[in-house]
Amino acid sequence: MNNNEAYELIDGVVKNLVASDAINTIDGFDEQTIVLGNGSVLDSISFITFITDIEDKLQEVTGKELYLVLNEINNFNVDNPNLTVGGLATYLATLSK
Amino acid sequence: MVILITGTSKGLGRYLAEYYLKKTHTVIGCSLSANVIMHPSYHHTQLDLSNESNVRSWVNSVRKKFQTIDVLICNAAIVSSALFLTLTPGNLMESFLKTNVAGVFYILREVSKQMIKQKRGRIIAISSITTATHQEGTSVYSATKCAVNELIKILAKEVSSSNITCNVIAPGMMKTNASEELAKKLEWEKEMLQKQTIQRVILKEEVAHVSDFLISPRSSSITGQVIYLGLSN
Repeated sequence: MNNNEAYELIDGVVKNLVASDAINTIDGFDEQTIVLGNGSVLDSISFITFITDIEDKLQEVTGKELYLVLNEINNFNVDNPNLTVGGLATYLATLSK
Repeated sequence: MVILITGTSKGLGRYLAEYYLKKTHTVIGCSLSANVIMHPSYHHTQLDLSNESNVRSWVNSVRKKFQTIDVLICNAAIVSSALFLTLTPGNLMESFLKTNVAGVFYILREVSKQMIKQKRGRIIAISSITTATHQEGTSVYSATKCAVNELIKILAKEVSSSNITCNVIAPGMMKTNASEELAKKLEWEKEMLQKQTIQRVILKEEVAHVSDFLISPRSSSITGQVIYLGLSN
């Protein structure tokens, strides 16, 4: 999975969550959208659902059980405590290889 | 209901599994050893709860197969130590931490993800009154149970908005394989009973009664509690 495919996967998960009323519509959703940290569009509980759905979708797409480990994500650390969709997509692309 | 119980091969876990099967619920169980419960509504997996990836895979497969987990009862624990802290080997302490704390943490994390998604759930952890009686010879065991109490109290706050309750049942002296083993080694069964307010062995039925109470729809506002059996607070 490359970065674009990972972004599409995240986008699909967000759309499903919006459609099922699990989260509110996110205006201007793009790679800069923050999903965890200051200014996040998701609250803590929504973020858990979001990550769970991403893991499920990853398994569906790759056929492998893959789990997100937040402290393994590059560019998401104590110096940069904001996780963006772009940062997450890069991580998913790496994880799926 | 779909009820997931850990440590179902013996003792209290086995009792609770059979108790809820009799009540026509679906029970999903696990233990380090092979299945001992033969029932069409019982689904067993042989599992080491201290192995993070195994727990993830197991809960993932349960989620996919049953679509829901209504109740989690964290029962599995090791109770093999009966040593004063001064004599407790480091590797024994580490095995306690792995099973009684890390194992509970992994299962709580994975199951609560599903419960958050389904926006409801009941979580019960089995602890012990030794966290309050400070019984000699139980330092490591009691410390791990204190950790469980705290995990549950904090999780209760974190997931309350998803209609999930988290509580602890902390029984006094029970007749289970594990506690009998401990009692034999320390010869402190009598001493432990003397520390209880209700000075008799706590029955498994009494634990089931509290479990029923906590999973009842009418108990949706009871969360973050440690319910002692046999001990006044």
